[in-house]
Amino acid sequence: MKKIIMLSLVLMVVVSSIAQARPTSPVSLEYDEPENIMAGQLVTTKVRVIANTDLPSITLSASAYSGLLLISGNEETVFTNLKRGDSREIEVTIQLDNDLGYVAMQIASTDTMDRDRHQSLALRFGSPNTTTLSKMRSQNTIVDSSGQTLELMQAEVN
Amino acid sequence: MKTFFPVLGLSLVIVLSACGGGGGGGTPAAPTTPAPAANVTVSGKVTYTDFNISAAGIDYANPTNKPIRGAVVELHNPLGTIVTAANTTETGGYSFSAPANSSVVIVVKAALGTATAPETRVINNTNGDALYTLTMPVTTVTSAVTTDFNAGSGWDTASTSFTGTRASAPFAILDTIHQGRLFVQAADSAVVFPALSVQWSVTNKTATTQNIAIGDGPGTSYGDPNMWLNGAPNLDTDEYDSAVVAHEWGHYFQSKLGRSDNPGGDHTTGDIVHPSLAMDEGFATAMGSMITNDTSQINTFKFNPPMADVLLANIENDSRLDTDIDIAFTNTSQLDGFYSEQSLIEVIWDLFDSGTEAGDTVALGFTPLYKVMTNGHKATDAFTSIYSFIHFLKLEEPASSAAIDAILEAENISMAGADEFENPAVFKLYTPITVGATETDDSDGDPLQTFDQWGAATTANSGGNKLLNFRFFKITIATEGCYTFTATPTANADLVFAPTGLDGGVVNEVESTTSPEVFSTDFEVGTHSIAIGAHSDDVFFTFGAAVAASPTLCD
Repeated sequence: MKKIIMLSLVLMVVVSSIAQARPTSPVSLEYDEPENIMAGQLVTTKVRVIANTDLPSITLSASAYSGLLLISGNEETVFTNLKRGDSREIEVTIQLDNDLGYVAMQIASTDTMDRDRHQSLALRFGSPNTTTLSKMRSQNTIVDSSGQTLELMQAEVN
Repeated sequence: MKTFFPVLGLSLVIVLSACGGGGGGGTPAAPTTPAPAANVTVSGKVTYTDFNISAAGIDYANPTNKPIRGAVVELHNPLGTIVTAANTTETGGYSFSAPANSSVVIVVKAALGTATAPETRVINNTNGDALYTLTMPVTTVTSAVTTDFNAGSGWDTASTSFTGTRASAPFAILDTIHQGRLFVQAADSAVVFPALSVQWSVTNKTATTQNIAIGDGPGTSYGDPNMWLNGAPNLDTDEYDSAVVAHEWGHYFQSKLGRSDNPGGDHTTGDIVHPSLAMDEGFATAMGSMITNDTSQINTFKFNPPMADVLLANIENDSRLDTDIDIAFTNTSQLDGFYSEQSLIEVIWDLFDSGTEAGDTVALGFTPLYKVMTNGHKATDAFTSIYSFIHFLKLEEPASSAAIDAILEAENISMAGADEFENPAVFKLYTPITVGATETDDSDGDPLQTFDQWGAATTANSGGNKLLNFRFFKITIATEGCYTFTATPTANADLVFAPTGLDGGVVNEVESTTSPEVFSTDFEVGTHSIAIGAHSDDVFFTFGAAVAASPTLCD
């Protein structure tokens, strides 16, 4: 058994928690998240689709998930014959109802072994205010005698 | 095991006795002591609503109720005050002794392990990490009370949407983990499971920018000490995807009970990856099928319209081409090998399963794999890979050595001449370095460099999780002391150093900010591995090691 007793102070630690994930869809998504969006304001942003592997086909669909209207960009878009590292862009225009909203992005791809893969993720617009944060927290929460915070859910009688 | 907590309230039955005697002059009867309240048994079974899944999605039309097994269950009197704690049985049963003629609450927590200090908990990361809890008020009388109750799904068939509390979701997740624990306990009844917090909420989703408190997370994953699962309706829900939950729990198992040097980060089917990532992902996926006893693995997403991914149609299928990697690095097609998580899924499964097919005459079950993962593989001086795992497996199961080799050969992995580090006859992963020497070439005599042939180092892939994003070095230390490694890149780049340490495992990847790039660490006597990577590709560097005076330790 070997032991590392101490690390030199010359160095900066850059890695803490490492997430090990399932294989992702072979597509990554990036977008320019607009800042300081006001409710009712029309905001347009570019969404970049990046192929992480050679992909004969990518189908991209955007829809309003919550808290906003998707003004444009909701048509299904198909990109073909992408090589690893290739990227494509679409543009979406949204209008927030209030402080926080999401566009749902559905990505379907076919890889070089003819396998279909799906991915669903959300693009966030805006940031939650204190009212939104408060609403997200369950009102049915207590601290029990062991000090544990419990979110209570009523059972159904069989 | 039941634990008794002080009861904070008392029920008294006061019996009033009439004064004795009639007619004048009688002696009053002595007052009687009130009889203590009798206890009655409160028992029953607790279940959760579950759904079958398939390539068509979640079958919400046909729910089934399944027992909540092994969960922490408590008697509260009143709600919030724990009287007694226990675990539900394998059939979801509970039984408590409670005061008669009183109102108590049966509380089932989405938690596994010791009833008073469970180590696995399903929590709501959008509600201050509160523990999901199912409650059932019970009014006791003077005889035993049986109350069966259920954690409902919240699904409304008429509107085909969620309209109620999704109480079953945390318990569906919990049951898959319980199954994983039983699976491992069958191999080691004395195993102690470390803490695990499973973050799930109805707003949890994969988001391009994270904010855990509002459910914007990294996507389904395990990152010590948390597991992240999605729950956002009609976007991505993980709670009924048992193979997905079991896979992530497989990462937890390797990380906390075994060992994984997986650098993490984004990766996809067909990638040529860091050997530790291939090993970790291959083992986790195979373990998912072992735990669920299902050779298929499905990930559901939406219900309107229904959408699901078939991650594995059949784990027995050979999904890859049996072709060697092109040494000139020109072939970027999907290939079998030690760098392919698909290959290692099949290898680990075939080592485990009891089926015999062409090329697979091995049926080890899980116990030998468990022993290797928690002993030799865990303590290896190499970076974890299929080489370290198989090296120690063959020591554990020497009689199966030839049959094990056959399984590996079918996936283009040769163990002839291999050790726990590599098979130098096939692919020299490590460059040996000696104290005081400077190395400029790798073991093939080519200039030392990192490669982005199979993907560049990016933030999304943790600074490099593809094969040869990091270069591996092996050093033998004869005298304990402080050792300084100096690497000089030809391009302007900060290098990342990742050494293995005691009990195995990468000890803090650190980025050098000096020029030349310097890393110092204390090494005990023995063999160590160190990986060096760059946050830019095609970086040539010279590499040398110098020893500080022993026994001085690094500052």
